[in-house]
Amino acid sequence: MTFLNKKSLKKVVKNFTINFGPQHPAAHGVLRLILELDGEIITRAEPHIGLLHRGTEKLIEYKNYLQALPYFDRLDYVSMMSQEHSYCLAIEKLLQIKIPTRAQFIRVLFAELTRILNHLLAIGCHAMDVGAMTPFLWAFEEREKLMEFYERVSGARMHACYFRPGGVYCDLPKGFLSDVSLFLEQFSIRLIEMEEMLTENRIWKQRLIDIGIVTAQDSYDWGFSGVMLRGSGTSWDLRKSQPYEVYDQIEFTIPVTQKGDCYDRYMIRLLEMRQSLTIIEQCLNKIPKGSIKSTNNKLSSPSRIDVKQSMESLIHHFKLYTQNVTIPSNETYIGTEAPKGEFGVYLVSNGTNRPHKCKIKSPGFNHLQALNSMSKGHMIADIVTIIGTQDIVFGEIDR
Amino acid sequence: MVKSVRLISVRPIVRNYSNLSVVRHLQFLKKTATQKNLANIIPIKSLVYDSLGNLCISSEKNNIRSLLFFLKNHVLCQYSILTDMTGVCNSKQNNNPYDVVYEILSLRYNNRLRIKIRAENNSIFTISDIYNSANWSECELWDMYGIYSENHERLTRLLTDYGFEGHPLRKDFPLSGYYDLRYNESKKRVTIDKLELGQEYRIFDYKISSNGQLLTKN
Repeated sequence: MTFLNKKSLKKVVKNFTINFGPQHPAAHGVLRLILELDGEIITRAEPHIGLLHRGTEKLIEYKNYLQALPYFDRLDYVSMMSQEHSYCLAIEKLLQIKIPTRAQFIRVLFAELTRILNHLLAIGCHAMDVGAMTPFLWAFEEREKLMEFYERVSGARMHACYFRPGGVYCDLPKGFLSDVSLFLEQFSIRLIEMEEMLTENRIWKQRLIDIGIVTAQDSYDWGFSGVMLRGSGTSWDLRKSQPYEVYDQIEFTIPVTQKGDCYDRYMIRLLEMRQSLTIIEQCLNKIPKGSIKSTNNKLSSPSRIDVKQSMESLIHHFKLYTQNVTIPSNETYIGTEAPKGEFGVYLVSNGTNRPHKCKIKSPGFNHLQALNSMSKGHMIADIVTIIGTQDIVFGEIDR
Repeated sequence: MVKSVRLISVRPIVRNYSNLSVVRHLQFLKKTATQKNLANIIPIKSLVYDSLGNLCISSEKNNIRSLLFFLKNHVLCQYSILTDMTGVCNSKQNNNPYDVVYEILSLRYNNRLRIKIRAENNSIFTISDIYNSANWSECELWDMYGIYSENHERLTRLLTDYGFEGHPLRKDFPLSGYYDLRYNESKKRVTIDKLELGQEYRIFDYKISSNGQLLTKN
């Protein structure tokens, strides 16, 4: 008769590997995560990216400088104009051209509107992934109002292609600035509504506090930028330290927190939206009258009146829309404070009208890399929180 | 209004840099670049301001690790963040046409630095133990350019498809690729077909020479 020993009752336990697949409502686009689990706790999280790779950098090498501009809208498709901004600044740096002040103020105005657009989606979608469905809908209603501004000024709700090298595409329509100020007045009330729903909520706090803690040294090692750096105590904002456009003439503060968990980063995004409101208000007060394109006709096309009256303007118009600007051999790296972090464009020109190489440095690339180290020891539900707090958008990671 | 705000900006980690400390830092960099006896430890071939005011260092492939270690850890440099790492086709050379460019950022001294090395034999030494963010950047470099990073722990493809062959961002890789991967409606699965382009990709690049003749791009 065989006895039942304790030995025969012992089971061998293996780690369970699941696929947090490319199609998942909380995966923020196409993210394939291979999770190795020990029960419910994650031992390894390996992101597989490249499912949205569209070959943007290769395509840019075959287009001239103006044709390459719309690619940048489509990289981070929630904050469209901030990438156009980096690209236009890179081209203007290569040609060493200054753009008129009115164009700079318009660009800063739209950069801040874009920041609000992005943070609304970030907080809204983050809340929805964690479980709070309502702020998502409120946030998207506000986004619709902002996209109406995009449409009024450029014709397209999302991919505006409004910032051009040399300035902006065309001037603001009549009544635009007063509508922006109307928006600002009612937006701070909307923000209060969202804060009331989430900030003091004990479920929200339980889901977010002490999750995904990033120390300052870790954030430097992993190449973080933007909100991820400021969450861990580093007060670094490219708008303050390496100011571009007219940010040195505008007063604003940057929110910084010490702990580095998801709740801190949520707070920073909320407060950054409030700071954007003050920046926009200052822009509205300070914006001068003037032209919105640089006068250098090699870069920006002359006005219609000139084209119809002057031969030289006609020739410039023709050359610009067939061949576009020729940039002598040079290279530059420009990083701007996009809402997600530091969005950089490394542009190499070779004396022709097409870029020799354009490398796009997206903030989400470095953030997603650190997902493995940030999510060790957390549970599956926390992975969703961490992806949301890193503000991952696949358009810019996969390019 | 928000009640419990945990904003503490009492001791931010990056202190307000003064112009004097930045100037001192730049002088220090220049000094180390020119001193010959430091050339073993800090191998900087040249440190120049290019025409746009960016600071560029060019160096050798073998010495890049000690250079980056120095720049990251020395108290007067503190280039703690590796922003970007990319490959550039250097058309002046025939055999080894790729340069690798590192962009680093010093938060303490608010300075950016660009380091260029030539990737001889299409390989470089990995820096992912110095800067963790180089991990995926080197994978991408391998995937897109075919530049191998020696001693990297897991060099895999990152952005291209799972069975993809070739290195897309190389100049000899055509824009349309080599084959056509599409969902075949009749076979009800994804198939790999021969490339069929309805029209060749046209590049309009005509220049008019001085005596009025139309030149095509060579």
